[in-house]
Amino acid sequence: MIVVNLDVMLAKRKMSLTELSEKVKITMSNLSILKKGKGKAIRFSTLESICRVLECQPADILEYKES
Amino acid sequence: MYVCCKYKIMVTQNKNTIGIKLLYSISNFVFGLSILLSAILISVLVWGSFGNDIGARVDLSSGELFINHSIEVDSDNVSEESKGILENDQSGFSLTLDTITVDLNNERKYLDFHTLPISVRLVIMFFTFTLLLLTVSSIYYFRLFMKSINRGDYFVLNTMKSLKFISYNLLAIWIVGVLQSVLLSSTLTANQDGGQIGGCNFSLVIDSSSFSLLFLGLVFWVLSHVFLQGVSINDENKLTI
Repeated sequence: MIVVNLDVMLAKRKMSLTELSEKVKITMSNLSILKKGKGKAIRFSTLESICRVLECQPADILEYKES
Repeated sequence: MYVCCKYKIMVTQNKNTIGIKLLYSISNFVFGLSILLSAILISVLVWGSFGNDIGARVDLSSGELFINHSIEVDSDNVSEESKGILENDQSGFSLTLDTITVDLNNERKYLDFHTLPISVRLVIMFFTFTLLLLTVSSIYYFRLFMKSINRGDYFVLNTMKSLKFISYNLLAIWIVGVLQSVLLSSTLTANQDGGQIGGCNFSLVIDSSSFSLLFLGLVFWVLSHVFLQGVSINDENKLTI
């Protein structure tokens, strides 16, 4: 399964979810779904925006784990 | 150019919305009307079941019930026989309620509803009530379907369920109609002096509307499966960030 480590990156960059939502222009509810790992898919454009704002690589946010 | 395209999309969406709203209003009206007409018809039939003459006739070949004689009669061929047979209809075409039936035998026999034995009357009433119930149910589920569409809930589970129930109702109407024709026609011709009138007691009635109902029921059933796919795609889309 794919684990989303968004909260880890937010803590590293000392940024709140609200701040990220404003900068990335994605709703809080959608970011919340992503953070909780309830999302079914993520668009490349969304991943690009998050990586640009958090100054990280996709591998920092997405991790594969054996279920 | 972007503004022009955006305006075109908005105009198209508005046109669809007006059409959908109109259809939803019509479905509400038709549902109310069907309830009212069903109540009137049931009251009339119950009154007729007590032996009162309600002007209803039963077609011997198909077992269909006619109220207010919507059929044409050739007056030269009127004959009276025992057990209340009133008229022969020698025309090749008979307009019955809202269907057109072509009688290949070219001869149709009718009986007054109130002259039939009580058991046959009850069977006819049972079939009529069942068909009424199924028709009103179809209209109800169509109204629910239009309500969902009017709200903009295209690919949700309730919309799919409404379509499915409409299809089941239409298929049930077709089945009940066929059963009615098969059971009642054999019962009614057997009621007539050994079943031989005019030397022929078989007539084939081809009713085009019944095949339309079957086809429509199947189309709605397939559509419900297509909508189910739409529901899963919609759910996935909602959870795509």
